Amino acid sequence: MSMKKSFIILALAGLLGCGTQPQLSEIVNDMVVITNFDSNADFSQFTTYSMMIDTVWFVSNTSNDDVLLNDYTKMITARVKQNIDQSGRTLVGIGDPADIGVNVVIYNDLSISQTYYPGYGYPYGGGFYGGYYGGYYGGGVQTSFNQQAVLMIEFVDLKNKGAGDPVSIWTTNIGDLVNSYDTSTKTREAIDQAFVQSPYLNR
Amino acid sequence: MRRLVLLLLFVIVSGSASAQFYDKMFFVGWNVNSPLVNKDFVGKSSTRGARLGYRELVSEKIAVGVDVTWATFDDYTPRQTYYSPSGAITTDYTNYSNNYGALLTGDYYFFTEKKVMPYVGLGAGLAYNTYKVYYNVYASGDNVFGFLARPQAGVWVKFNERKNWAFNAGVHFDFSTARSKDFGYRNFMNAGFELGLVFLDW
Repeated sequence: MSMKKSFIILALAGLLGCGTQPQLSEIVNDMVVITNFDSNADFSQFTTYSMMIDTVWFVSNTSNDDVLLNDYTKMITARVKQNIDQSGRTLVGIGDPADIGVNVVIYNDLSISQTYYPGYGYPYGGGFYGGYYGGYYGGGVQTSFNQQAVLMIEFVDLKNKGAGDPVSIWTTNIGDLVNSYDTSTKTREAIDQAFVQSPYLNR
Repeated sequence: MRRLVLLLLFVIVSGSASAQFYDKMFFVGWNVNSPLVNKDFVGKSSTRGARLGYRELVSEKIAVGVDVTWATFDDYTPRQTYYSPSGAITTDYTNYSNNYGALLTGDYYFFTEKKVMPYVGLGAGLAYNTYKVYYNVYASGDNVFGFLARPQAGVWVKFNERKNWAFNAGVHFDFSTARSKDFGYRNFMNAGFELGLVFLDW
């Protein structure tokens, strides 16, 4: 190959490969916090809630564990509980009648990418209450999967569920748990932010 | 005195002789660009851009060839909360527009026997733009094609007559129909300047 051809090929390769997207380190300083709610739900009617403390549900393509229990998950559930308590609701024991069931789930090592849209289907699995796969919300997050992790917190309506599956009335998706800096601190801040940007939850 | 006259004659003759025109030229240039539309998405000037070009002389003052262009624009928006009727999202994000072009271009050279060679040109071809939003590890985007027009003007200067290359400086304007409804682009326009080299007798 002539030197001229080599020069052209190198120049073209250089031109097409130059910094056309941000470095990961530039964009993971804060977690993304997305919340969605059922606009038909009357949140003031829900006075009690039920959730697992210390452990969170776990969905992973690299582990058969269904739940996680460690300092990180203890922090997560404690922070969720604190925020729900501050919204004017009372925790009841698992199995006791509750108005809201709270699912806290980490989707890990799955190929997850999120895009925010005003309304579309929302497939997921896991969670104690409901346990169904798939749903549709007035707006939300389209989730597809790759090597990332997301914390999902979900409220389902146990008070008005009737005979069918309980309906999801509030969800938050927080991510990314894998690549963001100072994961524990940022997760705590993100949980707080989820409730701050959902003032309709307050009684 | 006679020696001085001979020396001056030599300089003049060699100067004009060195500027003989070239049949084939290859351009490589660094481009600085400023977006002119939809500055809410990307509004900052960018130093990340380049052009590669090739020309063949088809008449005494006209050369035609191809250009390949690239420009990347970006803009960062600090963390904020955005509300919708069904929820909210809190994030910071970085917008990117990567603009690529492939053009057929014609240049008109004002002189044929000078060391300093001003020219004007017009290119028309294909634009391929990618508009993307990056937030944490997530991204959403749109990849679009369109028509691209690129008028340009410049000058190349050959400082050393023995070398087969010259410095090139120019300005350009890019207009493309690479529209994206999702990201607010009816078209894309930018203006910029270029510094680079011309390889003569390529």
